[in-house]
Amino acid sequence: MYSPRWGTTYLVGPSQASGLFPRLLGLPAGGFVSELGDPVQTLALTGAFEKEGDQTALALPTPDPALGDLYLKLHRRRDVYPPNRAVRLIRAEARRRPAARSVEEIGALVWAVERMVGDSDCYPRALLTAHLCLAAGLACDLVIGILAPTSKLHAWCSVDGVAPFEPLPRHWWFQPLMVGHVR
Amino acid sequence: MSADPRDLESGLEGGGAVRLALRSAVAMRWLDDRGRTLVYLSLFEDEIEPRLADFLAQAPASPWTVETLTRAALGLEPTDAVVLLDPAETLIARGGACSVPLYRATGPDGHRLSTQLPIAADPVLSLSGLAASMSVISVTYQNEPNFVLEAPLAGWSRLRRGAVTRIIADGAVSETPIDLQDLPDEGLSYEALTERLHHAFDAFGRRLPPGPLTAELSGGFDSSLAIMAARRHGHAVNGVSFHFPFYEFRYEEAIQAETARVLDAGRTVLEGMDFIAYTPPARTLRLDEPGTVAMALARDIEVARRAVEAGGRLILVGQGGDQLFSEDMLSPVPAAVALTPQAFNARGRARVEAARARMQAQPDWLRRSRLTYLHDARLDAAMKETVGALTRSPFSDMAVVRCGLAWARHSARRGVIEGKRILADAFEGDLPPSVAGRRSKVAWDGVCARLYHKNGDAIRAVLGASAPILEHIGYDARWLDRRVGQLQRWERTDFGLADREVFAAYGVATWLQAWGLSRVADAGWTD
Repeated sequence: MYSPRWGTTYLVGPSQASGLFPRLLGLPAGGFVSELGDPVQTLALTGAFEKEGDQTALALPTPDPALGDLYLKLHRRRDVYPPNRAVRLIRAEARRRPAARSVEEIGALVWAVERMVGDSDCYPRALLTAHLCLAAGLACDLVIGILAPTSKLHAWCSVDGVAPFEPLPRHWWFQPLMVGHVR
Repeated sequence: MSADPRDLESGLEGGGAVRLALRSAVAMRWLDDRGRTLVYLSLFEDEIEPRLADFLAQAPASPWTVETLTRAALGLEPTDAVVLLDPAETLIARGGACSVPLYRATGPDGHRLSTQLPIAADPVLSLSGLAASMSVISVTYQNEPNFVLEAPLAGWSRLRRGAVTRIIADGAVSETPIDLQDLPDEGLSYEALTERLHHAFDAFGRRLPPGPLTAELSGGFDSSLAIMAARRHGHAVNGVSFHFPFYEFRYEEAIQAETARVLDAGRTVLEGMDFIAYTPPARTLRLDEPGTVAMALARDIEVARRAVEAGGRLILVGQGGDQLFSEDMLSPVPAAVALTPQAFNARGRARVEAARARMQAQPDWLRRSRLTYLHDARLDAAMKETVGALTRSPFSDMAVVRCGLAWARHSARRGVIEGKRILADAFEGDLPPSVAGRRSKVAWDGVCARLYHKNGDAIRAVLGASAPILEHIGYDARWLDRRVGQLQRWERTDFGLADREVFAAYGVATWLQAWGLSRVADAGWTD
């Protein structure tokens, strides 16, 4: 079970999937399902072929430096910004930021931000994507998945089944632990 | 041209001789060529005639020398070897992916060359040779210890792969690398390279022996190309797939089934966890040298057994495809990294560090164009002799290798790395869309976690049974046991890093046990 309140993962028995424990983790009461599907059907912008990312040059927009600041804040202070708090932040920020309009534009903008800050990490990427979706008036799904039984996690965001940007198309390795519908 | 006898001997000027002893797995043809005895060696006896013919087509008009053999070896099949015997000198060319084991030792009667280490005859083991076996895991892909030439058996050295070795009467030995970057750049266009690939895979399929073939049918690009090439020439192929019932593998069954259907190959599905790494194998294989390949013996033996049962001797695999086409043949393999010092006692640390220092002092052997990173062949001869089959990949054929080099040069000219796009374009329409456009291959982390959980006790039993010898060689057996426990309990899941020393130790332990060496006193020891 993944805690969006603490940003931590727990290996528990089935009996703890309901009742007080999930609520302590910041999960809604009655939100447990035995199998959680991945909302992503396609990727708007991604690496091209079999293994590695597409190296083809792409005309990317020039992002607002404030987006880079937001990205780095979410990346470096995930102890302060686990998903629940991070979503509150990105919602607040979204109200004052007009940005991309379409899913494809959002994907390109996220990629541009990563190139600008010189880093690429799924957690701030997923949250930045959600932020830009909210700014564009788009509801989105924020997913945390796990490569069970390891503790390796991945985060991604999608709009109506389309993930705007995944540099390496590996989200499908990770079994969703939590799907948060953000609007 | 003659086949056999099994042993050849050539007298040397000044006395002594060079004796070449061949094991049963090694096919041989020999002929007198320009005053020398030329011996061609390969594990693929059904293909040895055309392979020799292709090599002789590269032969110089002038007499054989180190220089002319090195040039001709640029056309030697990477899995094969050539020995030129002469009273003045012996020249040996081993392909970079050579699967013919070749060792040498020097005694009062002259020089011995052998395709097998005579471990059972006189088990005096070399601690530095074993340290090299342990250290080699610190270099990506260099699973075979090509940097350090001391063999695990004292007094014996390995003949380096990807090199021409010269031995003269007084025992002096020198080496000249066989480096494909010495081939001229033809500047092939994308279209010309595509056509070359077609010819290369066609040649592969054409050379396969008659009779049924078995293939590893993973739904991956490379193994599918091997099957396609075989089917094009009418070979019946039965694919063996391994099923893992885990979330990240949920697409694999459909991809594999579609691959078998489109390529018209039979398919047998086995439960992957029944043959996962470290599963005790059904048979014992005595390898010349310890190898991490020992981890996968249960699986490899099962596939080989099925191949023989079906009446064949070869298992088609896609090994080497990533190395040639996903990676850049013009750039070196990363240098050796330090192993976890706590895995060794003080003596062991000194030995592995000395081995690593020697690796780092020879960075040229990291060049991918020498092909030593292409294939770990330590299993091949023993598998062929014990079970009766061995793997065969198109990606160790020189024609395909040269395409990989041409692709690297083409990519360098364009300044773009595009991975296997050239293969996808060259064989578009030949492979099912599920393979040509497939998702990336699945991560194995989840499987690794499960295999350690399942086989942790078996691993500890193997390591424990050899603990005194492992300590004598330089391992810290208690550290190894603790580390296996951590892996088993998923306290460490950084596979490939956290378990490196474990699978190297496992290779050493199973090697010792296969040779009946369970106590330090069972063998003699040298530094």
